[in-house]
Amino acid sequence: MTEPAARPPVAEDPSWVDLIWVQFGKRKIARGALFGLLGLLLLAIYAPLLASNKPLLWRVADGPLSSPWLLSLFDRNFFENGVDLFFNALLVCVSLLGLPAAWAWRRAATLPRAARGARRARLLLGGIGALLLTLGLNAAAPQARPKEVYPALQAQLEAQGTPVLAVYPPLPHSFRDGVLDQARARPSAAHPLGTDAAGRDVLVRLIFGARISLTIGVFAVSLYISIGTVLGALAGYFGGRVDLVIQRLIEVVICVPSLFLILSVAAFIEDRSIFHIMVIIAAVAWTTPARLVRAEFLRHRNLDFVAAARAIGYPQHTIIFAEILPNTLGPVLVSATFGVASAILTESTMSFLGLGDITVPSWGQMLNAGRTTSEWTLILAPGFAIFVTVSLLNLVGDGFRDAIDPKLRR
Amino acid sequence: MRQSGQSTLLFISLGLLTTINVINSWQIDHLERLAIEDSARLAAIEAQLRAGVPVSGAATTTAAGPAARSAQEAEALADPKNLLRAPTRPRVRAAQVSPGRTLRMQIGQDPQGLNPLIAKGADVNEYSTYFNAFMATRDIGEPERWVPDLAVKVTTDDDLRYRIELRKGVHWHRPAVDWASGRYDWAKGPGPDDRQPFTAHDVVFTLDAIRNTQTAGRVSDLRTYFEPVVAYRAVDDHTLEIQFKEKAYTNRSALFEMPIIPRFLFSVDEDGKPFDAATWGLKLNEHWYNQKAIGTGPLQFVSWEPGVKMEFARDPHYFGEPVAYDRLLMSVVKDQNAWPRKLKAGELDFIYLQPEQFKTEILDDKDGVLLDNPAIKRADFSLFNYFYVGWNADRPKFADKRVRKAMTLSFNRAGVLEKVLYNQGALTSGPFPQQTPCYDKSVQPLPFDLEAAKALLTEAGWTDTDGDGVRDKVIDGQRVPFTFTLITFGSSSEYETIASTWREDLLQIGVQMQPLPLEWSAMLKKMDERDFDAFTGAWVTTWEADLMQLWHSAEADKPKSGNRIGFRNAEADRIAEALRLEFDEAKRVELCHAFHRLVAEEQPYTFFYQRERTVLYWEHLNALEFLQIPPHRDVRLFSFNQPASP
Repeated sequence: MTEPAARPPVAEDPSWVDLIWVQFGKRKIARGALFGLLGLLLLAIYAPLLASNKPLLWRVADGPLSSPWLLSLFDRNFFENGVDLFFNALLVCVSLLGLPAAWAWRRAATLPRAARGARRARLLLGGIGALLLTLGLNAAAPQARPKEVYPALQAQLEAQGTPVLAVYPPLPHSFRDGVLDQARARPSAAHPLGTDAAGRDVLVRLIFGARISLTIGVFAVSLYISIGTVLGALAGYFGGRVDLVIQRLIEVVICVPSLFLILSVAAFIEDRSIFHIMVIIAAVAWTTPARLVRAEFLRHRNLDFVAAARAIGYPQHTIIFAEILPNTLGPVLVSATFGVASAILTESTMSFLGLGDITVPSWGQMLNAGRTTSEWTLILAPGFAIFVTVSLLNLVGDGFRDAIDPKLRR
Repeated sequence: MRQSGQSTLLFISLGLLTTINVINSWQIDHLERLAIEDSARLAAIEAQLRAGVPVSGAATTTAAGPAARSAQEAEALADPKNLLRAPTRPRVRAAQVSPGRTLRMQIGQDPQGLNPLIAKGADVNEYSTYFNAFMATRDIGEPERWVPDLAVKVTTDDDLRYRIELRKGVHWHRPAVDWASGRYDWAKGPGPDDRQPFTAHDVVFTLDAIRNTQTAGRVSDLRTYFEPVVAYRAVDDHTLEIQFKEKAYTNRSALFEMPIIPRFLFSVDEDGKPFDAATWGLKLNEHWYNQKAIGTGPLQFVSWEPGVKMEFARDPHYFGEPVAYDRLLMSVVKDQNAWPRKLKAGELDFIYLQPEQFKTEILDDKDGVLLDNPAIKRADFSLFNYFYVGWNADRPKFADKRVRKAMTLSFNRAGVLEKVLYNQGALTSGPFPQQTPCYDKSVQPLPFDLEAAKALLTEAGWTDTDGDGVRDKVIDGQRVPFTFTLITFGSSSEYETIASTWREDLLQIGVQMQPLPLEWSAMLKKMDERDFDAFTGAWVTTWEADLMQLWHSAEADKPKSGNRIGFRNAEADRIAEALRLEFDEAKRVELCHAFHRLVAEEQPYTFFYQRERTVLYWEHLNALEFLQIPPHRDVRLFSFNQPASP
């Protein structure tokens, strides 16, 4: 991270976060991978702007100018998945507030540390608030409108001699509407990666698949990190019987091969949505952070600062969650980045084995469809996407691991 | 230093030992294989000798044409009252017989067992036609004609009491047991090769087994047909009488096509001791011979290694036309993707192609040379089946026939058939096989027409009143949106594509459909409990049209019945009942056509398509011929155009 010239003259000790950030910045590959992930996130957020069969601008003859694209963003008949609605809300928020927020974030760097932290925390809370507000508004007044296939409508109107103005996104295909006549098309200018068995554009589905994969990765991992951290903290701090029970629970979960556990749990749920899949992944994967956190707690609980906190008379939950926990998060966060990658792989595996959610364009789903069609684009494209995402996440995780290791400091 | 030298020596000697061991076991393996080949060759020669065929030299005919049939049969066929008639053509042409050959085919899985009364499954039904004979069979050329098999003459005055004259001089195959041990001497009979004779008492025993409520398996399906039997008895060894309670068209086929099992074997335990009269039905379910086959058919059972292969050999004493080759070898190849490879490697003589293989091997084949080998040929045949979408008529949404029709109109069947199923079949508009006269060709499948579908839904009261793009209607005082769940057969990716395509089209007419892929067992459970809006299904049909099971309203109220969709229609009931009692072919066809028009109007199902199957085979087989009627594949029809290679 480059510091602006307007740095306050008083030199302050770099905080732990700053230290790690600087260390991370020195690892070029990891930094590149982080930018790659950021790009992937932007791609996921702005997917509808890249690919949609709803015109950005639409005018029939001399009628009013409208934007079916804008209206489609929160249309439950088009984006029926919660993940898409979330990302569309992100799209709106990032587009409207992104630049001012980034500017304010940079400005905060000139402030002294305490004020800077508070300012940035406010900014972060404000962003989350805006997102929740958008989602809340959307939930309070759900939008749904009759389905219209605009390219077909345009062709029909033009055949009747009515002039139509229609401006489409660069890829004028929808991730869900297929054109059967073009099923299994080879790559061409109109379909850069060809189409699948139902005549849907592969590239478009790949872009929208990034939303699904990233969501599954991030949400599943947040879920299991939360479970694992709490259980691990309790086991490590209290020890004794609590530790014994939690340890045995962990052993029970890890002694079952996770893929079989996942598959058998998935087989019980009849109407699987991707939220079920996240929960299933979380239900088997929480043991790793639990053991990490437990080990860290065992190390910390007898240190002086904990003794001091006890002497002051802090309640136990304060000692556990406010005093010790922040010190143990380093390894947990590193394992989380790897966890995101493995959650994406697990989802792909489940979808590949036909236990995913068939209505969403997830990469594993596409891979599964490709396997039966023996079209190379259908197999290679999602496979490559999974490979790139997982590699980026692993590189970032590697970078973080090195950055927090004092022995590897540069 | 010395130690490492020692261990090196140890490793070298270990390595040497391993190598020697490997070579040794390969040698033994090789010798063993040679020995097996030799003994197989000897067995083939022995079989030929027994069949009276010169062992060396080119193909010589042994098949007896229809002319050589017994005097008893000729006399019986001359009787105008006989329900059985002479076949239009023989199964085996004399010119095609090539001794010494083995027909090699693949089977996807092992059958449940080989007792055709107990083991369930289309595969056992098919194999039982190889080793078993029946009372009478449908003619190859004209399936409505019954030709003699084990029965030579069947007469009836009222279609209630049947008198059956059985063929004389027929013997059961020799059971495939370890004769040398002496344990099975009780099974020896007076016939050639110590065979037991086939008599009317075997038929009576089989009927006893079918009507015994202790028996389970396929027999429980057969039992429904034999419930209306009042009495049956063996008049003498070759004459049988059977009396039904009600006159029904299905009585004949039930009687003629029933699998028959030998009394001498299935009424006793492995040591020849008769079963207890109170529990013999239960004993039959787990009979010691259920994993082997016995019959009176053209091929006799040799061996079955589960998961590996099943072998049959030509029965030299078979009463009819013998098959054109000596042995039938069925290899169990579970991996369907391996079938084309095994064919190409020459391990199989013919294979079925799966739809995706049809695409890769035939549609994507640029040079027109199948599997890159000009000696491999292709044959196609149409199956007796149809695929459909069933609508739960007990649900208010689909009780209205206009709604069901709108669903059919919105399903792009032709497009899906072409693009997803590669035109491996033909669209169908009714429940009868298209090859039978029952199918009314004038009833065209409905077109794909979203505008017409919209109009029908509006007419049925489904309109989008709140502007959310989904039609709604007030049902029982509540405004319900038109959303439904379509249960699809989860093990096939084609259904997934079909469902997602249909889903988008349905949304255009304001209907929201949620596909739910389920495994077969879960799907069956839902259908049995009538817990569904709609499902994808398929029925295997028969030559004989019978509408009671699927379409009669009495079945709609029975649990787990075939009428899962709750179809209740007075006119359909009338036709189904009339069809049971009608014996005149022309009138039956008229009734079928009336029913076909009725379902086209009512749309209880969205009829989809009738599937075709593609077969690849080596050109050393004569052009493959398939039966019009299930099970379509009848290996007795297959023959080689070359004698065995020397």
